[in-house]
Amino acid sequence: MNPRALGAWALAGVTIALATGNPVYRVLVLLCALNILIALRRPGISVRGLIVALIVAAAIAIATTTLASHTGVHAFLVLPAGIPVIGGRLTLEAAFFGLSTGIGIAAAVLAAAPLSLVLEPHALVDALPAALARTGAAIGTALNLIPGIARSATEIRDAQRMRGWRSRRVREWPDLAVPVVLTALEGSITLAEAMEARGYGSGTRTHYTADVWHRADIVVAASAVAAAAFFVALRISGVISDWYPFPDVTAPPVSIAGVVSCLALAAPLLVWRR
Amino acid sequence: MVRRLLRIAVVVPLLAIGLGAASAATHTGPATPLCAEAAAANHVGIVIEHDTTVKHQCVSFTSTTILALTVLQDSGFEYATQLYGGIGEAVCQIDNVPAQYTACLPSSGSYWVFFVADASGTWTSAAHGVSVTSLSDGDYVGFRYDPLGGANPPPVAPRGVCPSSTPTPTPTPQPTASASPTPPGTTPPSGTQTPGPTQAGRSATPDPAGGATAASSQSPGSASASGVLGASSPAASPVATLGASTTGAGGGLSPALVIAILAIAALIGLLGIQGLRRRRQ
Repeated sequence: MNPRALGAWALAGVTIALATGNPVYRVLVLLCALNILIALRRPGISVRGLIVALIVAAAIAIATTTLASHTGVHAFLVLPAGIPVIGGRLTLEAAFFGLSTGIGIAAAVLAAAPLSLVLEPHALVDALPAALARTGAAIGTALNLIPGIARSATEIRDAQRMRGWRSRRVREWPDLAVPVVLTALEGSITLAEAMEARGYGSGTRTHYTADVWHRADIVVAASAVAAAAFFVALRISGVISDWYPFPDVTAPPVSIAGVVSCLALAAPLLVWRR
Repeated sequence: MVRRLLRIAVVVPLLAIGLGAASAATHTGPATPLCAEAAAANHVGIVIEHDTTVKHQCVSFTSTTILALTVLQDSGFEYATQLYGGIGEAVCQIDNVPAQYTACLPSSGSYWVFFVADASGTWTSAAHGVSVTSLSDGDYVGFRYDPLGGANPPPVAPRGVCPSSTPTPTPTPQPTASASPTPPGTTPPSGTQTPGPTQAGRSATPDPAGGATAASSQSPGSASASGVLGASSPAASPVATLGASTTGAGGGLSPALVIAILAIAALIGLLGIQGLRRRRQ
């Protein structure tokens, strides 16, 4: 699969997820993205951590909106008015609005997730346009250091424990933090020297493999871009309307054209195989 | 040629956005009254004050709570509102005051300040818009057309706008009972009025206080003032109509919603199949 085609698909998914507050379209984008992530992810990559993080984020969105927004007709609980911020009526409408927000966050994150979980990191950096190549390489390298730092932190903690160190008080944390920071600095200097030794930034950019656009890639990119453009046009013209549960919750308004453009995001499932 | 295409590309989205904003602004006028129940036991009083004019109405309803917007609708006064996001709808115009406006809540001049009061009749400035403020039996809503800046004095005290909130045990169903307004305290529930075409089924009682400046009986026709932004009927916007034709809100499941639900079910099913396949491998 072509990384740029997947990039176009991810951009389309995020656009649709954020273009409307309607939970029906957001759920459709979320499910399309989740299916693609599970079907096409790199071997050995688990999506469980990401899904748990998204569930936690959605739960926080629901809890915050329900507790802080007291508008709506259907109250299911009344907290004493003396409690600051959360005191007052807790309504079903606010909970539904929080749920819709949580689904929106999850849909946007899942639409962007294939870029890191389906593509190899070097393929993603390689696919960046020439103007962004250096910035992309720098950001990609920096992000790549994060798991390295986590690994070295675990190793240093284990080594310190073998020497009888126990992390009981905050005052003792520098015993762990100082070696971790020093190791990270050392690692990044080594990496910079290695990149320089290989001629990074010295001349024209070369590619390990040339990007090839297969027919399947064109289908994915074209359908995704067309779907997003169509969806935005429907949104601007008013055919697709936002959903707002206040003051009284109702079923979200849905248009067939909107559903079709969301389902066009499932095209990679039909044409791409891993 | 390219310049013309560019111009079209800029103008079309702007027009579309303008139409969308206009459709949001033109959501006005007394809609279908919710309070069709004749023997409604609950009442909310509404007081409207602008310049030296004070008008009031009593609106009855059967549910436990009623939205301030519904009270405004059922009172029969001409009005126009505009949605202000999570705050709800703000009132831009009541009783054709102001006669014309460009901004609902203007940066200079006067605007409608929205008050609520419980049974004690003490006005407090409302925290939200009329579409999200709910009231219960015995409450009052007040609107005062007030200049920007300075204090926002509340409208006149609402006492006596509604009859005693204790329901009369057996309202008389005779249509003749509705013809004569009776003084406050002895007025039977307003629902005993016969819903006629001029009242459009509203259960608003005539103003029992009968103040010199009060002009309580409003004909629905007063809502159709022309040439005022927001005074047209809700169906006037083509964009709003187009949007409404594709919605499934409120009126059960639309075909589009059914298709969406089927699509969601299919995608969940596909997830399940993928999970099963991986487990087998």
